[in-house]
Amino acid sequence: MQRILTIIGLQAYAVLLALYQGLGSVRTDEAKYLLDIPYPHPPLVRFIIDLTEPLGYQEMLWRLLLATVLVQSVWIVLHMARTFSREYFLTIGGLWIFSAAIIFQSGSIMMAPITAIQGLLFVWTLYEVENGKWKVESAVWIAFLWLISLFTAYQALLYAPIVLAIFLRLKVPFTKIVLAIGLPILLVALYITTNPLALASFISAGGQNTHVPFLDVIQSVLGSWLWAGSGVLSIIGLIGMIRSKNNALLGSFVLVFLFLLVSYRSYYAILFTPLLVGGVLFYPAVLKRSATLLALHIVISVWIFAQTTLSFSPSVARMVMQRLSDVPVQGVVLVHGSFGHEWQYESTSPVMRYAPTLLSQAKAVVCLERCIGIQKYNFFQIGNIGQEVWVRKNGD
Amino acid sequence: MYTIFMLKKYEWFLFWLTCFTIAIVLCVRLWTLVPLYTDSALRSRTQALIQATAQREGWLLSGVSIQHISDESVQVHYRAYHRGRDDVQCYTISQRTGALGSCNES
Repeated sequence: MQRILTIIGLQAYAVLLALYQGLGSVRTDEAKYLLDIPYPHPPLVRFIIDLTEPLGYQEMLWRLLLATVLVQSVWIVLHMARTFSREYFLTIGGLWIFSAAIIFQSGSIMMAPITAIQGLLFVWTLYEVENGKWKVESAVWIAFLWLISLFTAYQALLYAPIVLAIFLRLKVPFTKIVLAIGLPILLVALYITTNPLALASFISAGGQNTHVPFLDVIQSVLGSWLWAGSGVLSIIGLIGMIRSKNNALLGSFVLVFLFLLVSYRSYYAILFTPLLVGGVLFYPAVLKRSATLLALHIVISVWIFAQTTLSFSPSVARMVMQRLSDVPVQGVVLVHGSFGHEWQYESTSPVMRYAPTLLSQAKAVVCLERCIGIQKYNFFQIGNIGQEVWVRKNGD
Repeated sequence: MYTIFMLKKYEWFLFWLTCFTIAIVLCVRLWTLVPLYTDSALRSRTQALIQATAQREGWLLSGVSIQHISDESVQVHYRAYHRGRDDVQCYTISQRTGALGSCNES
């Protein structure tokens, strides 16, 4: 009964986090996955997400599903902590669910939280293997998880040291280890070569920090690490990794850190979280004064939450496209200026880049940059929408 | 029980088979793009051609997928991703003139 009530309580928490993410409308990266736009990540998860596209509530469905997975994955953490004292057991669970990364990334339709869960599964397997719970026959399921993770997002590669450690501890034959780890990596590399757009975005992501001063980048990455575990888990998790001399966790930590140095995005912070929890689990002595640590952890998370601004109004893209969906004219929507995929996600008509020669096909023109002379082509401007939007006069 | 036993016996085989199947699918796809990787002149010409066509036609590059490349033309699929039914359209772009035509016409 106690467990069922805990599950229900956690689910309520997950629903709140999903609703929180839904407040700000769909972001450009989320739209990319919801519509299965084929870059930059491999197709596995975005293809599954796209299967639900005909559902009117697709966005909220995935927010709820992903928030549920992230929050309820605390049971994996608790499973690892099953031999700990009750105080430690509850603290480690609290450290997971109240981490800023979990609070702010549960319910976002991104690949990073999914990769973090896959990372947690690898940490869990490593923990069980080190405690002699898994035998060599289980290695194939790790190989499958590795393949699935890499075809979810490239960042799964950052957990390669953990996967290698699992195979080595399971005493899998060396050739099989090389093939089981190397073949999925080769397949992903092959996938990149078949998708020039992914290749281009890969190169652009790799060079995005080149114009930022190195100290600023270091500061951002350190900030991500602290944010990932709300400071407390970040510090004790890293101490745990070092004190336990767990080279697999440390190796992955260094890889995530280096990856963020060259390709920083705030949403990658969550990739640290499973490693930090792993650090605590492999060296539970860091949980001394656990009640104080958990209290401080929650206070910091609440403080971070208090710093965020809540937006209760829909995005401009959603407002404009909802208005245009009522327009009884057929045609494409032209957008003038730089725009993200959220404009495509909010639209029921094809969205195209504005060019004067395309006006004959258009039912509307959205001007994110100033449009000149549209009225000459029998378009009228609609007001009270916070954006310059022109709609074709009916009957033209 | 027998099924579980058989699955256990062949689980590594299933893994290798999965990898092999993915490799075959990707190799078939890569085969059509080989000229892009082997001929740098063709690569830069194709890139410029697709970018110019996308700009002229209002396409978003994320919706363009190359299907076939030759010295004469590039065959692409264009999908204008949006909510609801978004059909894939097939076009041929002439490498010489840049003219765009439907695949059905050629």
